[in-house]
Amino acid sequence: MMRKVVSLLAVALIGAVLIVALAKMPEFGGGTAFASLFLFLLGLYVMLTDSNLIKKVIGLNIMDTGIFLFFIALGYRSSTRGAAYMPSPLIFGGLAAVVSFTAIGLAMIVRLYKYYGTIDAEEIMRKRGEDE
Amino acid sequence: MTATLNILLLLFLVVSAIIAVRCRDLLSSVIVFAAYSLVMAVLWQLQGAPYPAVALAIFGAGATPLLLLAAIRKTGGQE
Amino acid sequence: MSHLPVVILVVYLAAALGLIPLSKLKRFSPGWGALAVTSLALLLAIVSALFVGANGPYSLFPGGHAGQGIEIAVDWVAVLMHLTINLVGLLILVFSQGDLESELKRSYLPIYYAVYLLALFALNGLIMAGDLFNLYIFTEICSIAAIALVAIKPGKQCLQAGLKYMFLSALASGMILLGIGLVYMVAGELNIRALAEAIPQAFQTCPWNVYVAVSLIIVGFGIKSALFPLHLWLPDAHASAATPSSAIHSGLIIKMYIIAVARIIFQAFGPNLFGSIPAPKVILLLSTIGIFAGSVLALVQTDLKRMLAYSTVAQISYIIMGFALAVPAGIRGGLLHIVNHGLTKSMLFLTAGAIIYKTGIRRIEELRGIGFRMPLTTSIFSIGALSLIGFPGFSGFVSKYYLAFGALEAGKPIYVAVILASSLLNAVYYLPIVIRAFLGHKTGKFTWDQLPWPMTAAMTVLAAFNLYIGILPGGLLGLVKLAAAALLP
Repeated sequence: MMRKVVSLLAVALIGAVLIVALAKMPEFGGGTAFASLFLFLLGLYVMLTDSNLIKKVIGLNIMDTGIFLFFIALGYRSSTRGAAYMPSPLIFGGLAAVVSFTAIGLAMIVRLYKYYGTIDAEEIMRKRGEDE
Repeated sequence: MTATLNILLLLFLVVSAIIAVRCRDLLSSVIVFAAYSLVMAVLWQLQGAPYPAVALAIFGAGATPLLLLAAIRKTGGQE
Repeated sequence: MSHLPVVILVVYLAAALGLIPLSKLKRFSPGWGALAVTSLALLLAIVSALFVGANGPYSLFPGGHAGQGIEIAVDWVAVLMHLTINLVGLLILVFSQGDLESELKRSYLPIYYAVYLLALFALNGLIMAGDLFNLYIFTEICSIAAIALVAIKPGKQCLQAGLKYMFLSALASGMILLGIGLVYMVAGELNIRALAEAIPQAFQTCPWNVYVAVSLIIVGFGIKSALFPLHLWLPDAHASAATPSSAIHSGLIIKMYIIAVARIIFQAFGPNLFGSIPAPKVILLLSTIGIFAGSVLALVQTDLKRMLAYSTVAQISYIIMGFALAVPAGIRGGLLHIVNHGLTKSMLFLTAGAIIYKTGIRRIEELRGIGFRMPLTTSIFSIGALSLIGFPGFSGFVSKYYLAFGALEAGKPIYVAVILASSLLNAVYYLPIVIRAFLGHKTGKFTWDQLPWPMTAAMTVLAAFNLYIGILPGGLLGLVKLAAAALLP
């Protein structure tokens, strides 16, 4: 419970700083950018707090797609004004990285399941406490 | 027209993301996530980023859900 | 000749990809194959260093447009780090020939060596990336290889540590990507040289973009290189991983991220912009807290490898402090400490691994009298301990001297006091181990180490390098001066 409150506060703080800072940017992408920030923060929150490890991985994916959507929102906005700085190579690199992180993370989760018989982080912590 | 479509797609994204992370059944969660990725790819296509959209359709809506499904199968599919 | 650094990358990548299929052959040993590849890379790095010494630094542009796009920058920083990475990487690999079979399943050995070579590939690429795209890609490859190196050892602790590391690392990657993207939005460039020209103007029109980008990049790389409050993943990962993994993590990987972020900050954003925002003050404060907190936490540990891991948190804070002072002497101190700590801490982890290999002892209390059972290993551990304390005549003293000199040059003498006080703390947790090991004599029997020869050889060579740098630092200092000038003219 404590962990959830602290994580929520941290995510809210990061979100507030990002929104305040980005709203001052001249090329802020409007509604799409807000939605992408929401997705980023939602993914971050889930990754930090959800006790189900596979949910954490889904949160990680949502967080990163939020970041890519943010890039595209800003590129879309500035391309209508003549200058198109769409960082597509970065998005390709980022996608490849996310898939690798997902794959290696899921491999670890499957192996952890063989030891503990569960994919719930809190239960694993409890079982680990019993072991020691 | 495009603006309305944009807003609708964004709404769908936000709602499906919330469902994907709050849903209690992991299998439905993964399916909603695949739909989320596909809609995200459509949105990117509309916003003038066709190549990243194709990459996302392959990775986000193809490879990642497959990996997640395999992991869920191997871990018993329990919440 | 000018393509040698690229040849190093190609050799590593080809070897990493080819090692697993080749290991199906009957008479092929993946360990010795990896060793041959790394020796070749070290040789190439030395030739490349001599070439740069004769002709000066240069850059390669695989994209074809000089001055923009993808750039491979072979400057003095890259030369210095190439030598460090390939030397330390080679010695750790020599050690693992004796050690690894006791820690991993036999069937995992080829995969382990392939991942190890992949990590070396990414490190070699990371330190000569001249543009943010390359830098990001190599950071990712390096992170993923690093996670795999932790998680490959069988056991619950390694998997849990690896998962924690994976989630934090993925978060950090996201932050770095967002930061790089924000820079690209305003500057329209990813090449570091071109950014250096574009950013001052971009800073005039959208300062917030640049602020947010700098903070995101610093926090992201801060997580990956274990800046103090973001070090949460490090103790578990370093303590539970196989010995060669701990050594390469602590000795090389987390430090090269600091080189990467220093390149972005000093070469792209410029020291003036960095000095005009509160970031250096925050980083200096955090690294000061990190030095003391890491030392105090190391003091209370009972597990030898865990103590070394917390000691890494403290030592990495010295390096970050040197860079955050943003004066030439501070950066020299930071670079020197990267090299010295890379040699020293990997040596300490290897000695800890040797003790665990021979006796199975992990608890510090049980090390009493170990100096009579494993005299050579314990002597080498003592050399490392004295070096990290900053004892005159050992390598750590040279870097701490330069760090203190940097603090004076930056007009912040308080940090000299920090370095002195923390050296005392280091002594408090390292010296009792050494004293107990040699004086806590129980059985009265004296035996030689009896380790496999690769382990002994790797530790001895590392110790010899340590002593050499401590006594005759001249050659390294000359190289470090050139490298520091490349970062902060």
